[in-house]
Amino acid sequence: MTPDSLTITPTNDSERYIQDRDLNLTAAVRCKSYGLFSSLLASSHEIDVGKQLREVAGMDNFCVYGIDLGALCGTYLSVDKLARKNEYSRLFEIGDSGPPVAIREQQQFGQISGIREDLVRFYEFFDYKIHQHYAWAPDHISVILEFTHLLCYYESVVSEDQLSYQLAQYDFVSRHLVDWAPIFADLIDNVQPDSLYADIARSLCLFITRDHEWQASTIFPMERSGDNG
Amino acid sequence: MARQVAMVIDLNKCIGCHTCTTACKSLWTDEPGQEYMLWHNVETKPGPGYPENWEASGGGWENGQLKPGQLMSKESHGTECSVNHEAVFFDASEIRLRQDEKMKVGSNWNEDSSSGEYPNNYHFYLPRLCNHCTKPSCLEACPVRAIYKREEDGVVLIDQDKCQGLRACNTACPYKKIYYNHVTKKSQKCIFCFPRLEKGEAPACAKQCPGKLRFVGFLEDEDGPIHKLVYEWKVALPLHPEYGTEPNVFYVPPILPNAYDDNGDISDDPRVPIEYLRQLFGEEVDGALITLDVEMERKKQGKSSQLMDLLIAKDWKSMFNIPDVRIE
Amino acid sequence: MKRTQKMASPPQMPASKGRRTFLRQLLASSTLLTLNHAPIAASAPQPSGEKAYRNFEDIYRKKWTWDRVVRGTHGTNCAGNCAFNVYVKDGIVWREEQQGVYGSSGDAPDYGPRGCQKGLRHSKYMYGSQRVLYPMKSIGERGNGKWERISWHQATTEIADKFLDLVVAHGPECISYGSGTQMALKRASFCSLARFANITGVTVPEFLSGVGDLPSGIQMTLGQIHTSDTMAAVYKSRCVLVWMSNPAVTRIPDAHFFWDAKYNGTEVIAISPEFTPTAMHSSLWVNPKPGTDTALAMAMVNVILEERLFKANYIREQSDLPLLVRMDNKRFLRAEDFATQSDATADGGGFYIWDEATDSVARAPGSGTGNDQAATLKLGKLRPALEGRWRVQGLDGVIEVTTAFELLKVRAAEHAPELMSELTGVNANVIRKIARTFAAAEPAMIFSGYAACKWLHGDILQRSMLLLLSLTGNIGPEGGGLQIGNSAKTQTMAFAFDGIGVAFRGISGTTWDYDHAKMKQLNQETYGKKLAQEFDDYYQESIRKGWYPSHSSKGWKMGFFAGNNGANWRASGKRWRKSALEELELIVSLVPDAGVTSHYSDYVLPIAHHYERADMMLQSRTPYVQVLDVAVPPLGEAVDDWEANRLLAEAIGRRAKERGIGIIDDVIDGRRVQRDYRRCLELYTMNGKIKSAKDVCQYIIDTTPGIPKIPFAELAEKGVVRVNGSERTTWDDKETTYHSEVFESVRDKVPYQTVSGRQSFYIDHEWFLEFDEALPAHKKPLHNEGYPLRMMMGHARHGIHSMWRDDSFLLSLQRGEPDIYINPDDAAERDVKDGDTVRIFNDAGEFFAMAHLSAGIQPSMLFMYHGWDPMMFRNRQNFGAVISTAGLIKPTSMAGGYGQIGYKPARFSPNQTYKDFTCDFEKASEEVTAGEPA
Repeated sequence: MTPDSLTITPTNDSERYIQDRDLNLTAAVRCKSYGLFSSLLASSHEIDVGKQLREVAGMDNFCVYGIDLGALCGTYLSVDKLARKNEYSRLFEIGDSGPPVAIREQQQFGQISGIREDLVRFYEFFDYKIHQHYAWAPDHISVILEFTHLLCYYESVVSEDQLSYQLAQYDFVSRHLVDWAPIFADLIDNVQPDSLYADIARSLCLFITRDHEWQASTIFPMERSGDNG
Repeated sequence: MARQVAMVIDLNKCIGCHTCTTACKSLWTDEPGQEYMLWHNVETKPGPGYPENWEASGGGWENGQLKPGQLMSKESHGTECSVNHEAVFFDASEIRLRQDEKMKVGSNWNEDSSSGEYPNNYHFYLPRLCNHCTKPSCLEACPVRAIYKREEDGVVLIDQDKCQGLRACNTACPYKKIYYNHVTKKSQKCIFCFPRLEKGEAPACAKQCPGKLRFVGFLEDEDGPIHKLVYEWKVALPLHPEYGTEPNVFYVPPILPNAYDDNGDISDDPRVPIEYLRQLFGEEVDGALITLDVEMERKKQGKSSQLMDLLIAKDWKSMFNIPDVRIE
Repeated sequence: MKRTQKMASPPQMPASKGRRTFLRQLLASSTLLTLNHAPIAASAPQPSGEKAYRNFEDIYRKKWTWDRVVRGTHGTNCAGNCAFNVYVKDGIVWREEQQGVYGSSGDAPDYGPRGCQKGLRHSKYMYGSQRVLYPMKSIGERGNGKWERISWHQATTEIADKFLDLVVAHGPECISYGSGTQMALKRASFCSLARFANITGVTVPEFLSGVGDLPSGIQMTLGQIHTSDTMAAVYKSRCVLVWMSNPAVTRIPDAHFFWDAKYNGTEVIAISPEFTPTAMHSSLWVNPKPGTDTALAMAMVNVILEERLFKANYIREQSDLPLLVRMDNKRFLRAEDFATQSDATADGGGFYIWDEATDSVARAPGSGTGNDQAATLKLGKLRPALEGRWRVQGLDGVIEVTTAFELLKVRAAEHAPELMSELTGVNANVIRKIARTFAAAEPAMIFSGYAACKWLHGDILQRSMLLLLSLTGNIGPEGGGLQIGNSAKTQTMAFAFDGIGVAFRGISGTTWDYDHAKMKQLNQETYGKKLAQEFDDYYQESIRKGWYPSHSSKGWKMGFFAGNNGANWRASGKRWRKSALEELELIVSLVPDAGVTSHYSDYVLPIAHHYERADMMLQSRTPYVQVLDVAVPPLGEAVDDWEANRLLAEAIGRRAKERGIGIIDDVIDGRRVQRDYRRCLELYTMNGKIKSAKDVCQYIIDTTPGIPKIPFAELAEKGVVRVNGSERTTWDDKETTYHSEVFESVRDKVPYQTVSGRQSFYIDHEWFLEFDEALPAHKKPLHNEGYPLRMMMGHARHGIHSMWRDDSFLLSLQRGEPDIYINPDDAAERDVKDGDTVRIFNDAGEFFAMAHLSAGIQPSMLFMYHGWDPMMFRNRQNFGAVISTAGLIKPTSMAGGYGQIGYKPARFSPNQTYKDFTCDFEKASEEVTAGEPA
């Protein structure tokens, strides 16, 4: 980070606006979906997400982008608690020289700088304050998903300037989820295919990819020249 | 009147610890696209340096014209580093903790790879940053005039808004101290920590150097150590003056212990061949070395020496003389 | 941002008939918003114009400000503990920068900003994947990489149960608790270990000798081991021999003093086989062959003696050189040799000189007990002769005597420069030149390091260095002396004993391993039956004589390793892992970062890192106390060492009560000690008085001489505080915390804590006489038969032991993997090119590294920086693979019953040998590098 903002990257040369988006149909659903994925990927050593998941597991046909979230939550709840904790920590939290699969974005993309700064700036901008206990890992995938969930929540409840939250969601997912989710899923597949978290990661990957696509389809005009990945 | 901030680096004290490099890296080049950049680096000399073989890459001036130069590949700056902590899990006994990719080139690959022949080998460390030249070839070369030199302190900057990523500056700089950001598609380089200068604070590479070997101040400040070292004592020299850009970072050339003669006795010959030092600093280096020798000898005899006192720098803070840069 | 197609499918399947119901259900469900990681947000902010988000640059407009700037440092044993500002925002450490507030000592240049590149990386490293974040338990075979995350409660309970099982069955002696680099120098942390150990009686191997850092030669000579001053003292010297040290690499924050001194007219002479970064800037570089340093030192002694450059009055008063030695048995003339002395004491006290003033034998001042003379070294009217031969009337007739000085001359003559030239590879003129320069300088200093201790005969090297200094009157003056290390007189052990008494089981790390890790066998395999037997004979004899304790009776069953990566650096690599570590029933590591030792542990407990804890450090190199403070809470479930031991104490106490374990009888140094493990926690916390590491720090502040009596909060706010009585560059003020007793002897003429009361160069212990080591002499280092190359090692620039060695940025400033420096001719002979993977091997083992050619390396030697963790090597074998020296317990290092020479953990005990081995290298075969990324 810099004392003053120095490396100004190129601005979009056109302003963006949202079209073809029915808030009533989409905002709450997406909010809930991101929230669920955040819960599914939280550490069960730290957080008990049973209540949130049971709600949804009970719903018929909670399908989002063709992904049966209700069933996924049900699967999660059906796995033995201890087995689930062990699976989680062995994949994401402990290991000989660290865990085999990075659950923090900076861990995954060690070479690329500025990830945590970008996250923290987003969080600050939208008054998302992480509890001191988790503050050290703002790039934890569960936290990143939770923040996205918050943005969707705001989109669904504010009375004006939904645009801020809509554009923020898109940019945030573009910068912090859309590239990572497939890698995350692939790594888990390599280490422990046929596991609960392999399922969750695959579903997440699908969800992110499709949601990102859908979001993009509602945003006009998009930047046309070049791409900075 | 234009003012010029300058730096003097005493190569007799540099121990190659890279605190300067790390200070710069953590302050400025920690954003996407900047991973391979070392706006400040330290290299072992003789050696190919960073980027590899930059001294043979052209650029600078020749007969009043821009001399053509080479575009240095990203690879020539060294393989980036990411340790495979996660992969060690896969097969506990086989996989070792290492770089994801085997390094073949690095910014400091030749660390302590001494030249010559034992026991008359020689090497030393050379910290390098943008020289904020008085006649910057990069500024001249930019087709869209994105590079400018500040009146108040002579710092040379690339306007990130104007830059079109044409990279003419990359090739024009004979020191190869301009780097292309492949993510933002702009060229970037050392900014001499100008936000710090504006608060009266020396650049991080200088201020955080534990070696107490870097002076920062204004060239025209006659009372300051820089003026004395460059103009009065003439022991602080520009690197590769023949490039013609009139750099404003100066070096006090290194004096290593004398070489051995054929019998293994200590000879009077300097360890670093004078030809090599002339290659780096020009013919003026001869005089600088003599001056340093003479003054060191005075101290050995118990006499006083202003030059030695300057270079010893008993008071660390006196090495930095940056008044408020904003002028009315 | 990728261009996307329009009309991507929306979140919900179109026109599903249950959709409305579903939405109603959803909206009717409990709060839509669930924040697991953040307290519930206030109702949505209504962004106004400026707060509107339109583009990601908007989030970069706000000026970045710090929430807090905390003082801190890196609590590792580089002994720099440089003052840093640590910058925190949103509960994350983003960067650090040196505080830049140091002053100066005397009229030397000020200390400057200090710091180094590793410290500057810590804000990144602390978040790296190598961090141990949660308590882990190993599943299945040790080292198989399978772990389970468990709670602290479960971990400590299970550990406590095993602990108590062993204590009940065998006593606490069979359980070791070793500290290391990452723990030992932080005062509160070490106090926590010491107190825990005092309560429980676990065996604490001191870590000096265990890593080959014990300068026993200094103890033998001066009766103390800590002699050094601040780094600024270098500036006050007129000639510095930098010998067995590479400060340009290992004293980064303070190396500038050497070059400042050089500019100031000081002759800085670097002595090393290879051209080091220190040699680079020195006035002179002298390049003896590896292992010939004592020969060089004694050759210099010869020059000083022959050319009469010694300071006669100094050595008459301060050293044992004028003392009379019997020519028949080469023992000092002692009181009991005299027929006529009626006050002869039986304790070996009482040595003699030949008084030139009266031309008669006289009692040497400072020796013996029960008379006024013993209390001072002052000569008064005496003029002790240095040279001559005389006869005295002894109990059994006439005894011919001479001085130790005369015997030294003979010994020195055997090391004349012309004779030592070929052996050392140093031209005789050069030897003479540096001897003369050294002798003429007032003062002169030998700046050394623990490398001087790592040769089998390193003690002799230290003795010869001290001899050089003493002959020239340089032990004592500001700017003189042997600069190896000094220890703060913090009341660590007082803290440990407070309210409990002395029940601490501290032992030598080297002999512990010898007893438990089949070292005799190792010696046999490497150096042959004869040596192995000889070394073992003396070892066992020493134990029989009661000079050294035996550790073998109880066995070694459990080990705690705190900040200690023993499996990295033990001088027999994988072998130690097999013969020692893997024999243990339980292994517990307490570490912030993963390393090879934690891989082989049964439990790994996460420890807070440098910016996540309160503690304090003092190192003699600068006159400052340095704080560590909590910039951010420990990551994950890590805790600081104080808290970790508190949790262990709690579990032990709880389980002891639950299991009804009563008082256990123990014996410490022959005294009966009763241990009630049920009271573990209350004893540990001093009945609740000590609640945290801060309280421990306050205790240290309150009780340590020389530290200003301030509250910890003030130290935390200031970051650095100057120690009292530290205006000079030397620690010669009794009130200050590093006071070196040398000054009392030199300045105040108080006798040394040695048998003779003087600097002891002539050691007439029977074993020393047997091995002809009564006086220093060059002794050939050991080698591995058939292997011609010495592999020398040194502390690295880009890491402190294994910490930061795997930092990605620092690796990018090297070659990304362990590399070994090789002379180009040696490489060419073996068809090895720069960058090739090479195999380094001898009969003990092999390891692989990248060849790094350099003309600075002396032919027939290799050089490798240490600290690379075995995890970074193929087959998890690092350089330890070829080091076979762990069993080399030098017989004279097991000597006892001789005043300053006798078992005293952390002062006199066998030192771990590291350097007496040889090896060879070759290009690694294709199979080794096949399949690796090109």
